[in-house]
Amino acid sequence: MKFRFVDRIFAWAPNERICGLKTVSFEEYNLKEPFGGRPHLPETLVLESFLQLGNWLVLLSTDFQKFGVITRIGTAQFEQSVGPGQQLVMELTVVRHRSEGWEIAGEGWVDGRIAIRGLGCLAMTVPAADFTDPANMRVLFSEIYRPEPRPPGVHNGQ
Amino acid sequence: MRFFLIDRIIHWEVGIAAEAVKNVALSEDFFDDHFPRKPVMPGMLILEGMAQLSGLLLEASLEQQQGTSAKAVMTVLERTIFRAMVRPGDVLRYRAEVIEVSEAGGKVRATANRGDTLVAATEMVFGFDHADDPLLGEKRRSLMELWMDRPVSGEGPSRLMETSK
Repeated sequence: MKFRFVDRIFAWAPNERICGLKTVSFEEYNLKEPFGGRPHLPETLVLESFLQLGNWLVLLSTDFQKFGVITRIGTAQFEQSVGPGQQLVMELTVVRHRSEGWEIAGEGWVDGRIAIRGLGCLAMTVPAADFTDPANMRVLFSEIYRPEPRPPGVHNGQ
Repeated sequence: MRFFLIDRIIHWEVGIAAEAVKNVALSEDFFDDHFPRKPVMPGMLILEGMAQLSGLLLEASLEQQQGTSAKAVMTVLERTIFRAMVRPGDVLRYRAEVIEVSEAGGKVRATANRGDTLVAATEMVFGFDHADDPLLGEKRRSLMELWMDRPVSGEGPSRLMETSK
């Protein structure tokens, strides 16, 4: 089992924005929802995917020297669920760099409809090498980065 | 991993508050990636534990108040803070307090503590989805038996909720 929730990165601009996606597979363990109901990615893991994409932006913007640790989420709204066979396409922007860290906001869409909206997400930056091997992250990035001028499912006129 | 983020319910007051514990074991799968050089429990899984407890409490509270079964679905997280990292060997104590509950949904204030240290706090808004699956009710009752460490009799999960104070 892996705790990785970003499958592809389409575009990124250092210190500004990043766009990527998470695909949802029926094979994922977390779809076995403990309380029944239709299988879907739990809302907390939709948010995890959103925040992991933000962490990629921190890593990329600092040449893999810094890593984001989330300390605050102002608001996260979940508008619709993401199920097997669907893709969550996300775009995050840096609202500002504060003394405590990076403030990030963004949205995610499923089939062109908004699925998650995150505001006031504050990440403290720490040395990346304390948490992970930066060389491994570089290799992983080279595998998941597929530049596209206009990623599918993004409808905010970028 | 089955995605159960609470291990035991230790306090249960329908309509008011509930508490649960979660043991954090290095053998849990998420530690493989989170993180290779420093195992830290993902903050979103701490929130998931708080959400699972909160959802159960709201569902029971609705049932007590209105006599109807529903499934709680989280729709909004507000004012979420993280104050400490959670490491293998830690024991988390989740607490959920009902702020409001109605036919449409409910709101809960939830915290996670390690001993006296606040780890995370949030306010969660839930909506209620229609639920009338008898198999689902049976599954929930067996889970509640596991979490409360005692047998549960009655006709459905609602019976448990009413008698487990």
